[in-house]
Amino acid sequence: MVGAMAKLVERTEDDLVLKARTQAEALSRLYEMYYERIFRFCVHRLFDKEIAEDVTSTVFLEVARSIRLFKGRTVQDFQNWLYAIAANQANAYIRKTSRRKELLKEAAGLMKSADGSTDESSEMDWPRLYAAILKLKPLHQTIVTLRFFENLKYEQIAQILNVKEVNVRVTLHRILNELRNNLQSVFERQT
Amino acid sequence: MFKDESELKKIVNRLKIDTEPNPKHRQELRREVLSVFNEAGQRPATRIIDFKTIRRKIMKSPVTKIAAAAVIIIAVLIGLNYFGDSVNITSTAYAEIVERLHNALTMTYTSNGTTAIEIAFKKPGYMRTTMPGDYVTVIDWTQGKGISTLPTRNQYIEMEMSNLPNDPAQQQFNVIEKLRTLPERADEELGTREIDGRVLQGFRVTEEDVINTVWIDPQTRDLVRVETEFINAPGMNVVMTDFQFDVELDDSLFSLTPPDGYTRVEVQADVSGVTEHDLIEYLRAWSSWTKDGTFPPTLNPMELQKVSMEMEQQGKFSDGQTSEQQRKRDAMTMYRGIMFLTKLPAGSNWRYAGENVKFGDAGTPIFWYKLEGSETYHVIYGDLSVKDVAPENLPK
Repeated sequence: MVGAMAKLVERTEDDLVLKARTQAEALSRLYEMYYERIFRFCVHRLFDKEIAEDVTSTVFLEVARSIRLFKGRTVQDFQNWLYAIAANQANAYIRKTSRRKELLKEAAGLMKSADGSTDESSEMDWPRLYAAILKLKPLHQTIVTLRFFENLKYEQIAQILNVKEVNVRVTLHRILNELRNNLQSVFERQT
Repeated sequence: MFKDESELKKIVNRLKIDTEPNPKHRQELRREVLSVFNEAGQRPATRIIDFKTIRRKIMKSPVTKIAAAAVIIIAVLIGLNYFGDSVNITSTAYAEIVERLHNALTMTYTSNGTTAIEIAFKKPGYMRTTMPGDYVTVIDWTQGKGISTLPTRNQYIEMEMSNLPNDPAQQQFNVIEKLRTLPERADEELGTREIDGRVLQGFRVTEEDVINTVWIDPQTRDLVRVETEFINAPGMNVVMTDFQFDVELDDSLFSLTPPDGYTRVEVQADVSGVTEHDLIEYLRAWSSWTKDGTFPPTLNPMELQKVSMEMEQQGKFSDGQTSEQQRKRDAMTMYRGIMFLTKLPAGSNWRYAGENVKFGDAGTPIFWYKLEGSETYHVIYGDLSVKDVAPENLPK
Protein backbone atom coordinates (compact mmCIF):
# COMPACT_ATOMS: atom_id res chain seq x y z
CA MET A 1 0.00 0.00 0.00
CA VAL A 2 2.73 2.43 1.02
CA GLY A 3 4.69 1.48 -2.12
CA ALA A 4 1.68 2.06 -4.31
CA MET A 5 1.09 5.46 -2.68
CA ALA A 6 4.71 6.41 -3.22
CA LYS A 7 4.48 5.49 -6.88
CA LEU A 8 1.32 7.52 -7.25
CA VAL A 9 2.96 10.56 -5.66
CA GLU A 10 5.97 10.13 -7.90
CA ARG A 11 3.80 9.92 -11.00
CA THR A 12 1.89 13.01 -9.91
CA GLU A 13 5.14 14.90 -9.43
CA ASP A 14 6.36 13.74 -12.83
CA ASP A 15 3.16 15.09 -14.33
CA LEU A 16 3.96 18.35 -12.61
CA VAL A 17 7.24 18.60 -14.49
CA LEU A 18 5.50 18.10 -17.84
CA LYS A 19 2.77 20.59 -16.95
CA ALA A 20 5.31 23.18 -15.74
CA ARG A 21 6.40 23.70 -19.33
CA THR A 22 3.13 25.45 -20.04
CA GLN A 23 1.34 26.04 -16.74
CA ALA A 24 2.43 28.63 -14.19
CA GLU A 25 0.63 26.84 -11.39
CA ALA A 26 2.65 23.68 -11.93
CA LEU A 27 5.88 25.67 -12.01
CA SER A 28 4.83 27.40 -8.83
CA ARG A 29 4.42 24.06 -7.09
CA LEU A 30 7.80 22.84 -8.28
CA TYR A 31 9.29 26.11 -7.02
CA GLU A 32 7.82 25.53 -3.57
CA MET A 33 9.11 21.96 -3.59
CA TYR A 34 12.69 22.88 -4.47
CA TYR A 35 13.31 26.42 -3.27
CA GLU A 36 14.62 25.39 0.12
CA ARG A 37 16.84 22.66 -1.26
CA ILE A 38 18.48 24.93 -3.82
CA PHE A 39 18.87 27.74 -1.32
CA ARG A 40 20.53 25.36 1.12
CA PHE A 41 22.87 24.12 -1.61
CA CYS A 42 23.78 27.72 -2.42
CA VAL A 43 24.49 28.53 1.24
CA HIS A 44 26.77 25.52 1.43
CA ARG A 45 28.58 26.53 -1.75
CA LEU A 46 28.72 30.26 -1.09
CA PHE A 47 28.84 30.59 2.70
CA ASP A 48 27.01 33.90 2.71
CA LYS A 49 23.21 33.80 2.91
CA GLU A 50 22.69 37.00 0.96
CA ILE A 51 24.88 35.79 -1.87
CA ALA A 52 23.07 32.47 -1.73
CA GLU A 53 19.78 34.31 -2.15
CA ASP A 54 21.10 36.11 -5.23
CA VAL A 55 22.31 32.90 -6.83
CA THR A 56 19.11 31.07 -5.92
CA SER A 57 17.23 33.83 -7.70
CA THR A 58 19.41 33.42 -10.77
CA VAL A 59 18.76 29.68 -10.79
CA PHE A 60 14.99 29.88 -10.61
CA LEU A 61 14.77 32.77 -13.07
CA GLU A 62 16.80 30.69 -15.51
CA VAL A 63 14.36 27.84 -14.94
CA ALA A 64 11.43 30.16 -15.61
CA ARG A 65 12.99 31.26 -18.86
CA SER A 66 14.07 27.84 -20.08
CA ILE A 67 11.57 25.32 -18.78
CA ARG A 68 9.64 25.37 -22.04
CA LEU A 69 12.75 23.87 -23.65
CA PHE A 70 13.43 21.41 -20.80
CA LYS A 71 13.48 17.88 -22.18
CA GLY A 72 13.36 15.98 -18.88
CA ARG A 73 10.20 14.12 -17.94
CA THR A 74 10.54 13.24 -14.27
CA VAL A 75 11.06 15.07 -10.98
CA GLN A 76 14.43 13.41 -10.80
CA ASP A 77 15.38 14.94 -14.16
CA PHE A 78 14.11 18.28 -12.94
CA GLN A 79 16.03 18.10 -9.70
CA ASN A 80 19.23 17.17 -11.53
CA TRP A 81 18.70 20.09 -13.87
CA LEU A 82 18.19 22.48 -10.95
CA TYR A 83 21.34 21.32 -9.21
CA ALA A 84 23.32 21.56 -12.46
CA ILE A 85 22.23 25.16 -12.98
CA ALA A 86 22.88 25.99 -9.33
CA ALA A 87 26.34 24.39 -9.45
CA ASN A 88 27.26 26.35 -12.57
CA GLN A 89 25.97 29.63 -11.19
CA ALA A 90 27.75 29.14 -7.86
CA ASN A 91 30.99 28.24 -9.63
CA ALA A 92 30.65 31.26 -11.88
CA TYR A 93 30.29 33.42 -8.79
CA ILE A 94 33.29 31.94 -7.03
CA ARG A 95 35.47 31.96 -10.15
CA LYS A 96 35.70 35.70 -9.97
CA THR A 97 38.87 36.00 -7.89
CA SER A 98 37.84 38.99 -5.87
CA ARG A 99 34.64 37.31 -4.78
CA ARG A 100 36.50 34.19 -3.76
CA LYS A 101 38.73 36.37 -1.62
CA GLU A 102 35.70 38.00 -0.05
CA LEU A 103 34.23 34.63 0.85
CA LEU A 104 37.51 33.50 2.38
CA LYS A 105 37.79 36.74 4.31
CA GLU A 106 34.33 36.27 5.69
CA ALA A 107 35.07 32.69 6.68
CA ALA A 108 38.32 33.81 8.35
CA GLY A 109 36.41 36.52 10.19
CA LEU A 110 34.05 33.99 11.69
CA MET A 111 36.96 31.87 12.86
CA LYS A 112 37.75 34.62 15.34
CA SER A 113 36.17 34.61 18.74
CA ALA A 114 34.19 37.50 20.11
CA ASP A 115 37.15 39.08 21.92
CA GLY A 116 39.05 39.36 18.63
CA SER A 117 41.53 36.60 19.25
CA THR A 118 41.75 33.65 16.90
CA ASP A 119 39.90 30.50 17.88
CA GLU A 120 42.70 28.03 18.18
CA SER A 121 40.58 25.07 19.22
CA SER A 122 41.08 21.87 17.29
CA GLU A 123 37.32 21.52 16.82
CA MET A 124 36.17 21.50 13.23
CA ASP A 125 33.76 24.32 12.49
CA TRP A 126 31.94 25.53 9.38
CA PRO A 127 34.25 28.48 8.53
CA ARG A 128 37.33 26.25 8.68
CA LEU A 129 35.78 23.52 6.58
CA TYR A 130 34.49 26.05 4.07
CA ALA A 131 37.92 27.69 3.76
CA ALA A 132 39.40 24.26 3.05
CA ILE A 133 36.69 23.38 0.51
CA LEU A 134 37.18 26.68 -1.26
CA LYS A 135 40.76 25.69 -2.02
CA LEU A 136 39.55 22.79 -4.16
CA LYS A 137 38.80 23.03 -7.88
CA PRO A 138 35.27 24.35 -8.54
CA LEU A 139 34.06 20.98 -9.82
CA HIS A 140 35.49 19.24 -6.77
CA GLN A 141 33.84 21.78 -4.47
CA THR A 142 30.55 20.91 -6.12
CA ILE A 143 31.09 17.19 -5.63
CA VAL A 144 31.88 17.68 -1.92
CA THR A 145 28.78 19.79 -1.43
CA LEU A 146 26.48 17.40 -3.27
CA ARG A 147 27.87 14.37 -1.49
CA PHE A 148 28.34 15.54 2.08
CA PHE A 149 25.94 18.45 2.47
CA GLU A 150 23.13 17.37 0.16
CA ASN A 151 23.66 13.66 0.87
CA LEU A 152 23.19 12.67 -2.75
CA LYS A 153 24.10 9.25 -4.09
CA TYR A 154 27.01 8.82 -6.44
CA GLU A 155 24.63 7.97 -9.24
CA GLN A 156 22.75 11.23 -8.91
CA ILE A 157 25.91 13.31 -8.61
CA ALA A 158 27.12 11.66 -11.82
CA GLN A 159 23.87 12.55 -13.56
CA ILE A 160 24.02 16.16 -12.40
CA LEU A 161 27.61 16.58 -13.52
CA ASN A 162 27.11 14.47 -16.63
CA VAL A 163 30.02 12.15 -15.86
CA LYS A 164 30.29 8.43 -15.16
CA GLU A 165 29.50 7.22 -11.66
CA VAL A 166 32.85 5.51 -11.38
CA ASN A 167 34.56 8.82 -12.13
CA VAL A 168 32.77 10.47 -9.23
CA ARG A 169 33.87 7.67 -6.87
CA VAL A 170 37.50 7.84 -7.96
CA THR A 171 37.56 11.63 -7.98
CA LEU A 172 36.03 11.82 -4.53
CA HIS A 173 38.79 9.63 -3.15
CA ARG A 174 41.37 12.11 -4.43
CA ILE A 175 39.31 15.06 -3.25
CA LEU A 176 39.22 13.74 0.32
CA ASN A 177 43.01 13.52 0.44
CA GLU A 178 43.31 17.05 -0.85
CA LEU A 179 40.64 18.31 1.52
CA ARG A 180 42.47 16.73 4.45
CA ASN A 181 45.65 18.59 3.47
CA ASN A 182 43.75 21.81 3.00
CA LEU A 183 42.22 21.49 6.45
CA GLN A 184 45.62 20.80 7.91
CA SER A 185 46.96 24.03 6.47
CA VAL A 186 43.90 25.98 7.63
CA PHE A 187 44.48 24.78 11.20
CA GLU A 188 48.23 25.35 10.99
CA ARG A 189 47.80 28.89 9.76
CA GLN A 190 45.88 29.70 12.89
CA THR A 191 48.28 28.22 15.39
CA MET B 1 40.44 15.87 11.10
CA PHE B 2 38.63 12.96 9.38
CA LYS B 3 39.84 9.55 8.29
CA ASP B 4 37.31 8.60 5.68
CA GLU B 5 34.07 9.51 4.00
CA SER B 6 31.81 8.44 6.83
CA GLU B 7 33.77 10.50 9.36
CA LEU B 8 33.53 13.56 7.18
CA LYS B 9 29.79 13.00 6.90
CA LYS B 10 29.50 12.90 10.69
CA ILE B 11 31.51 16.09 11.00
CA VAL B 12 29.31 17.86 8.45
CA ASN B 13 26.18 16.66 10.26
CA ARG B 14 27.49 18.15 13.51
CA LEU B 15 28.18 21.55 11.97
CA LYS B 16 25.84 24.36 12.83
CA ILE B 17 25.10 26.04 9.53
CA ASP B 18 22.28 28.51 9.22
CA THR B 19 20.40 27.56 6.07
CA GLU B 20 17.05 28.92 7.16
CA PRO B 21 15.57 30.75 4.16
CA ASN B 22 14.19 34.25 4.37
CA PRO B 23 10.41 33.98 3.73
CA LYS B 24 10.37 37.43 2.17
CA HIS B 25 12.95 36.46 -0.43
CA ARG B 26 11.12 33.24 -1.12
CA GLN B 27 7.85 35.04 -1.76
CA GLU B 28 9.34 37.81 -3.85
CA LEU B 29 11.32 35.40 -5.97
CA ARG B 30 8.25 33.25 -6.51
CA ARG B 31 6.40 36.26 -7.90
CA GLU B 32 9.35 37.15 -10.12
CA VAL B 33 9.72 33.58 -11.38
CA LEU B 34 6.08 33.41 -12.39
CA SER B 35 6.24 36.80 -14.02
CA VAL B 36 9.30 35.79 -16.06
CA PHE B 37 7.64 32.49 -16.96
CA ASN B 38 4.54 34.27 -18.23
CA GLU B 39 6.60 36.79 -20.18
CA ALA B 40 8.70 34.03 -21.70
CA GLY B 41 5.53 32.41 -22.98
CA GLN B 42 4.74 35.49 -24.99
CA ARG B 43 8.17 36.35 -26.38
CA PRO B 44 11.78 35.12 -26.30
CA ALA B 45 13.42 35.20 -22.89
CA THR B 46 15.22 38.38 -21.92
CA ARG B 47 18.13 39.05 -19.69
CA ILE B 48 19.64 42.32 -18.68
CA ILE B 49 23.24 42.92 -19.62
CA ASP B 50 25.30 44.94 -17.19
CA PHE B 51 27.77 46.74 -19.39
CA LYS B 52 29.52 48.00 -16.28
CA THR B 53 31.06 44.55 -16.01
CA ILE B 54 32.97 45.10 -19.23
CA ARG B 55 36.66 44.91 -18.52
CA ARG B 56 38.52 48.14 -18.03
CA LYS B 57 42.15 48.24 -18.97
CA ILE B 58 44.11 51.30 -19.92
CA MET B 59 46.14 51.29 -23.06
CA LYS B 60 49.23 53.38 -22.49
CA SER B 61 51.49 52.53 -25.38
CA PRO B 62 51.94 55.44 -27.83
CA VAL B 63 52.19 52.99 -30.71
CA THR B 64 48.97 51.37 -29.62
CA LYS B 65 47.40 54.79 -29.57
CA ILE B 66 48.73 55.45 -33.04
CA ALA B 67 47.26 52.20 -34.21
CA ALA B 68 44.05 52.43 -32.26
CA ALA B 69 41.89 53.51 -35.15
CA ALA B 70 43.13 50.68 -37.28
CA VAL B 71 43.05 48.08 -34.56
CA ILE B 72 39.53 48.61 -33.40
CA ILE B 73 38.07 48.55 -36.87
CA ILE B 74 40.07 45.48 -37.81
CA ALA B 75 39.11 43.74 -34.59
CA VAL B 76 35.49 44.51 -35.17
CA LEU B 77 35.54 43.17 -38.69
CA ILE B 78 37.68 40.19 -37.89
CA GLY B 79 35.79 39.38 -34.72
CA LEU B 80 32.65 39.20 -36.75
CA ASN B 81 34.27 37.38 -39.56
CA TYR B 82 35.56 34.77 -37.16
CA PHE B 83 32.15 34.22 -35.81
CA GLY B 84 30.60 34.38 -39.22
CA ASP B 85 32.76 31.47 -40.18
CA SER B 86 32.14 29.63 -37.00
CA VAL B 87 28.45 29.21 -37.03
CA ASN B 88 28.15 25.79 -38.52
CA ILE B 89 27.83 24.24 -35.15
CA THR B 90 24.80 22.13 -34.69
CA SER B 91 23.99 18.64 -33.60
CA THR B 92 20.74 16.82 -33.48
CA ALA B 93 21.16 16.37 -29.73
CA TYR B 94 21.21 20.10 -29.10
CA ALA B 95 18.86 21.34 -31.73
CA GLU B 96 17.49 23.93 -29.37
CA ILE B 97 20.83 25.76 -29.53
CA VAL B 98 20.34 26.05 -33.25
CA GLU B 99 16.80 27.17 -32.69
CA ARG B 100 18.00 29.81 -30.26
CA LEU B 101 20.61 31.03 -32.71
CA HIS B 102 18.10 31.10 -35.50
CA ASN B 103 15.56 33.03 -33.50
CA ALA B 104 17.88 35.39 -31.62
CA LEU B 105 16.88 39.02 -31.82
CA THR B 106 19.97 40.03 -29.87
CA MET B 107 23.15 38.24 -28.92
CA THR B 108 26.25 39.00 -26.89
CA TYR B 109 29.53 37.15 -26.45
CA THR B 110 33.17 37.68 -25.60
CA SER B 111 35.89 37.09 -28.16
CA ASN B 112 38.99 36.02 -26.23
CA GLY B 113 42.36 36.40 -27.88
CA THR B 114 45.12 38.05 -25.94
CA THR B 115 42.63 40.86 -25.85
CA ALA B 116 39.06 40.27 -24.74
CA ILE B 117 36.42 41.96 -26.86
CA GLU B 118 32.81 42.20 -25.76
CA ILE B 119 30.46 41.96 -28.72
CA ALA B 120 26.75 42.70 -28.85
CA PHE B 121 24.31 42.43 -31.76
CA LYS B 122 20.80 43.57 -32.28
CA LYS B 123 18.56 43.00 -35.24
CA PRO B 124 18.26 44.12 -37.98
CA GLY B 125 21.97 44.89 -38.17
CA TYR B 126 23.38 46.79 -35.21
CA MET B 127 26.64 45.84 -33.57
CA ARG B 128 28.66 47.13 -30.64
CA THR B 129 32.12 46.04 -29.57
CA THR B 130 33.98 47.08 -26.46
CA MET B 131 37.71 46.58 -26.23
CA PRO B 132 40.06 47.04 -23.27
CA GLY B 133 40.39 50.72 -22.50
CA ASP B 134 36.68 51.24 -23.24
CA TYR B 135 37.31 51.57 -26.95
CA VAL B 136 33.74 51.24 -28.17
CA THR B 137 32.75 50.72 -31.77
CA VAL B 138 29.17 50.80 -33.00
CA ILE B 139 28.26 49.77 -36.51
CA ASP B 140 24.89 50.07 -38.17
CA TRP B 141 25.10 47.68 -41.08
CA THR B 142 21.75 48.75 -42.43
CA GLN B 143 23.23 52.19 -43.15
CA GLY B 144 26.80 51.01 -43.71
CA LYS B 145 27.95 53.48 -41.05
CA GLY B 146 29.91 53.18 -37.87
CA ILE B 147 31.53 55.11 -35.06
CA SER B 148 34.47 54.33 -32.80
CA THR B 149 35.31 56.29 -29.68
CA LEU B 150 38.87 56.74 -28.47
CA PRO B 151 38.49 57.76 -24.80
CA THR B 152 42.20 58.32 -24.20
CA ARG B 153 42.19 61.05 -26.84
CA ASN B 154 38.60 62.28 -26.62
CA GLN B 155 38.21 61.53 -30.30
CA TYR B 156 35.77 59.59 -32.39
CA ILE B 157 36.05 58.04 -35.82
CA GLU B 158 33.17 57.92 -38.23
CA MET B 159 33.29 55.03 -40.65
CA GLU B 160 31.70 54.66 -44.03
CA MET B 161 31.63 50.94 -44.70
CA SER B 162 31.73 51.34 -48.45
CA ASN B 163 31.62 48.37 -50.77
CA LEU B 164 29.46 46.40 -48.43
CA PRO B 165 25.92 45.61 -49.51
CA ASN B 166 23.33 47.48 -47.52
CA ASP B 167 21.07 44.50 -47.18
CA PRO B 168 21.97 42.99 -43.80
CA ALA B 169 20.65 39.64 -44.94
CA GLN B 170 23.36 39.48 -47.58
CA GLN B 171 26.43 41.21 -46.26
CA GLN B 172 29.11 38.96 -44.95
CA PHE B 173 29.60 40.44 -41.52
CA ASN B 174 26.09 40.14 -40.24
CA VAL B 175 26.41 37.29 -37.82
CA ILE B 176 22.80 37.08 -36.83
CA GLU B 177 21.72 36.60 -40.41
CA LYS B 178 24.38 33.96 -40.91
CA LEU B 179 23.25 32.17 -37.79
CA ARG B 180 19.74 32.05 -39.10
CA THR B 181 20.88 30.02 -42.08
CA LEU B 182 22.72 27.37 -40.11
CA PRO B 183 22.59 23.83 -41.45
CA GLU B 184 21.72 21.36 -38.72
CA ARG B 185 24.76 19.15 -38.64
CA ALA B 186 28.10 18.65 -36.87
CA ASP B 187 30.93 16.61 -38.37
CA GLU B 188 32.10 15.03 -35.16
CA GLU B 189 30.86 14.57 -31.59
CA LEU B 190 33.70 14.94 -29.11
CA GLY B 191 31.97 13.65 -25.99
CA THR B 192 32.26 15.46 -22.68
CA ARG B 193 35.17 17.38 -21.22
CA GLU B 194 35.65 19.57 -18.16
CA ILE B 195 36.43 23.15 -19.13
CA ASP B 196 36.69 25.88 -16.49
CA GLY B 197 34.93 23.71 -13.96
CA ARG B 198 32.02 22.83 -16.22
CA VAL B 199 31.38 19.52 -17.92
CA LEU B 200 30.65 20.35 -21.53
CA GLN B 201 29.75 18.39 -24.61
CA GLY B 202 31.77 19.14 -27.72
CA PHE B 203 30.98 19.19 -31.42
CA ARG B 204 33.38 19.80 -34.26
CA VAL B 205 32.63 21.24 -37.66
CA THR B 206 35.29 21.59 -40.36
CA GLU B 207 34.73 23.86 -43.32
CA GLU B 208 37.51 24.47 -45.79
CA ASP B 209 40.37 25.81 -43.65
CA VAL B 210 38.34 26.61 -40.55
CA ILE B 211 37.72 24.19 -37.68
CA ASN B 212 35.06 25.15 -35.18
CA THR B 213 34.74 23.34 -31.89
CA VAL B 214 31.54 24.10 -30.08
CA TRP B 215 30.97 23.34 -26.41
CA ILE B 216 27.49 23.07 -25.00
CA ASP B 217 26.41 22.49 -21.42
CA PRO B 218 24.29 19.35 -21.69
CA GLN B 219 22.42 20.13 -18.48
CA THR B 220 21.46 23.73 -19.06
CA ARG B 221 21.67 23.38 -22.86
CA ASP B 222 23.55 26.65 -23.07
CA LEU B 223 26.10 27.41 -25.77
CA VAL B 224 29.18 27.95 -23.60
CA ARG B 225 32.20 28.17 -25.84
CA VAL B 226 33.23 28.22 -29.49
CA GLU B 227 36.86 27.65 -30.46
CA THR B 228 37.80 28.67 -33.98
CA GLU B 229 41.02 27.44 -35.52
CA PHE B 230 42.32 28.68 -38.85
CA ILE B 231 44.39 25.98 -40.49
CA ASN B 232 46.01 28.37 -42.91
CA ALA B 233 46.46 31.22 -40.50
CA PRO B 234 48.35 30.01 -37.45
CA GLY B 235 48.17 32.31 -34.46
CA MET B 236 44.78 33.70 -35.46
CA ASN B 237 42.77 31.27 -33.35
CA VAL B 238 40.03 32.69 -31.21
CA VAL B 239 37.84 31.46 -28.36
CA MET B 240 34.36 32.85 -27.87
CA THR B 241 32.56 32.61 -24.54
CA ASP B 242 29.83 34.21 -22.42
CA PHE B 243 27.12 33.75 -25.04
CA GLN B 244 23.76 35.24 -24.22
CA PHE B 245 20.75 35.35 -26.47
CA ASP B 246 17.84 37.72 -26.53
CA VAL B 247 19.31 39.91 -23.84
CA GLU B 248 17.77 43.31 -23.38
CA LEU B 249 19.89 45.78 -25.32
CA ASP B 250 18.71 49.36 -25.34
CA ASP B 251 18.84 51.18 -28.67
CA SER B 252 21.05 53.83 -27.06
CA LEU B 253 23.87 51.27 -26.95
CA PHE B 254 23.92 51.37 -30.75
CA SER B 255 23.79 55.13 -31.16
CA LEU B 256 26.01 56.63 -33.83
CA THR B 257 26.10 59.94 -31.95
CA PRO B 258 29.53 60.71 -30.46
CA PRO B 259 29.91 61.61 -26.77
CA ASP B 260 29.88 65.32 -25.91
CA GLY B 261 33.26 66.99 -26.21
CA TYR B 262 34.78 64.45 -28.58
CA THR B 263 36.42 65.63 -31.81
CA ARG B 264 36.01 63.85 -35.13
CA VAL B 265 38.53 61.82 -37.11
CA GLU B 266 37.27 60.38 -40.37
CA VAL B 267 38.27 57.00 -41.74
CA GLN B 268 37.17 55.55 -45.03
CA ALA B 269 36.89 51.88 -44.18
CA ASP B 270 36.92 50.58 -47.72
CA VAL B 271 37.40 46.84 -47.52
CA SER B 272 37.47 46.20 -51.24
CA GLY B 273 40.51 48.08 -52.49
CA VAL B 274 43.36 46.59 -50.49
CA THR B 275 46.14 44.71 -52.26
CA GLU B 276 49.48 43.08 -51.55
CA HIS B 277 51.00 46.55 -51.84
CA ASP B 278 49.09 47.61 -48.71
CA LEU B 279 50.61 44.78 -46.71
CA ILE B 280 54.07 45.72 -47.93
CA GLU B 281 53.55 49.35 -46.93
CA TYR B 282 52.37 48.25 -43.49
CA LEU B 283 55.47 46.10 -43.02
CA ARG B 284 57.65 48.99 -44.17
CA ALA B 285 55.92 51.41 -41.77
CA TRP B 286 56.28 49.07 -38.78
CA SER B 287 59.97 48.54 -39.44
CA SER B 288 60.40 52.33 -39.45
CA TRP B 289 58.77 52.58 -36.02
CA THR B 290 61.13 50.11 -34.37
CA LYS B 291 64.60 51.16 -33.25
CA ASP B 292 66.25 48.10 -34.79
CA GLY B 293 64.22 48.16 -38.01
CA THR B 294 62.57 44.78 -37.41
CA PHE B 295 59.18 43.74 -38.72
CA PRO B 296 56.19 43.04 -36.43
CA PRO B 297 56.45 39.84 -34.37
CA THR B 298 52.96 38.85 -35.51
CA LEU B 299 50.38 39.85 -38.08
CA ASN B 300 47.50 38.80 -35.90
CA PRO B 301 45.55 42.02 -35.35
CA MET B 302 44.00 40.60 -32.21
CA GLU B 303 47.50 40.42 -30.72
CA LEU B 304 48.45 43.88 -31.86
CA GLN B 305 47.58 45.78 -28.72
CA LYS B 306 49.43 43.38 -26.47
CA VAL B 307 52.47 43.19 -28.71
CA SER B 308 52.75 46.94 -29.07
CA MET B 309 52.35 47.48 -25.34
CA GLU B 310 55.06 44.95 -24.56
CA MET B 311 57.41 46.41 -27.15
CA GLU B 312 56.79 49.90 -25.81
CA GLN B 313 57.64 48.76 -22.30
CA GLN B 314 60.82 47.20 -23.63
CA GLY B 315 61.76 50.47 -25.33
CA LYS B 316 61.75 48.94 -28.80
CA PHE B 317 60.01 51.80 -30.58
CA SER B 318 61.71 54.98 -31.78
CA ASP B 319 61.16 58.05 -29.61
CA GLY B 320 60.55 60.51 -32.44
CA GLN B 321 57.51 62.77 -32.29
CA THR B 322 54.87 62.34 -34.96
CA SER B 323 52.21 64.79 -36.04
CA GLU B 324 48.53 64.09 -35.74
CA GLN B 325 48.35 63.87 -39.54
CA GLN B 326 51.14 61.31 -39.62
CA ARG B 327 49.47 59.23 -36.91
CA LYS B 328 46.31 59.11 -38.98
CA ARG B 329 48.27 58.02 -42.04
CA ASP B 330 50.06 55.36 -39.98
CA ALA B 331 46.77 54.06 -38.63
CA MET B 332 45.36 53.80 -42.12
CA THR B 333 48.49 52.06 -43.39
CA MET B 334 48.23 49.51 -40.63
CA TYR B 335 44.54 49.02 -41.17
CA ARG B 336 44.81 48.45 -44.90
CA GLY B 337 47.81 46.15 -44.52
CA ILE B 338 46.04 43.87 -42.13
CA MET B 339 42.81 43.98 -44.04
CA PHE B 340 44.71 42.43 -46.94
CA LEU B 341 45.14 39.31 -44.82
CA THR B 342 41.48 39.12 -43.98
CA LYS B 343 40.64 39.22 -47.66
CA LEU B 344 42.91 36.37 -48.67
CA PRO B 345 40.77 33.45 -49.75
CA ALA B 346 40.65 30.07 -48.07
CA GLY B 347 43.42 28.01 -49.57
CA SER B 348 45.91 30.87 -49.88
CA ASN B 349 47.84 29.09 -47.16
CA TRP B 350 49.58 32.26 -46.04
CA ARG B 351 52.45 32.25 -43.60
CA TYR B 352 54.27 35.04 -41.80
CA ALA B 353 57.87 34.68 -40.67
CA GLY B 354 58.93 38.28 -40.13
CA GLU B 355 59.61 38.16 -36.39
CA ASN B 356 63.17 39.40 -35.64
CA VAL B 357 63.87 39.97 -39.37
CA LYS B 358 65.22 43.45 -40.16
CA PHE B 359 64.11 45.58 -43.08
CA GLY B 360 66.60 45.18 -45.90
CA ASP B 361 67.32 41.49 -45.41
CA ALA B 362 66.85 40.47 -49.06
CA GLY B 363 67.62 36.81 -48.45
CA THR B 364 64.90 36.09 -45.86
CA PRO B 365 61.30 35.40 -46.89
CA ILE B 366 58.93 37.02 -44.39
CA PHE B 367 55.52 36.39 -45.94
CA TRP B 368 54.16 34.07 -48.61
CA TYR B 369 50.79 33.09 -49.97
CA LYS B 370 49.26 31.41 -53.00
CA LEU B 371 47.01 33.28 -55.40
CA GLU B 372 43.82 31.59 -56.47
CA GLY B 373 44.51 29.28 -59.41
CA SER B 374 48.27 29.82 -59.25
CA GLU B 375 50.86 27.03 -59.08
CA THR B 376 53.43 29.23 -57.37
CA TYR B 377 53.53 31.34 -54.23
CA HIS B 378 54.06 35.08 -53.92
CA VAL B 379 56.94 35.56 -51.50
CA ILE B 380 57.76 38.88 -49.82
CA TYR B 381 61.36 39.17 -48.65
CA GLY B 382 62.97 41.25 -45.92
CA ASP B 383 63.81 44.00 -48.40
CA LEU B 384 60.10 43.96 -49.32
CA SER B 385 60.78 42.68 -52.81
CA VAL B 386 58.33 40.10 -54.19
CA LYS B 387 59.08 36.95 -56.20
CA ASP B 388 57.16 33.94 -57.46
CA VAL B 389 58.40 30.75 -55.84
CA ALA B 390 57.50 27.10 -56.46
CA PRO B 391 55.95 25.32 -53.43
CA GLU B 392 58.96 22.99 -53.08
CA ASN B 393 61.26 26.00 -52.66
CA LEU B 394 59.32 27.60 -49.82
CA PRO B 395 60.88 27.76 -46.36
CA LYS B 396 60.03 24.72 -44.27
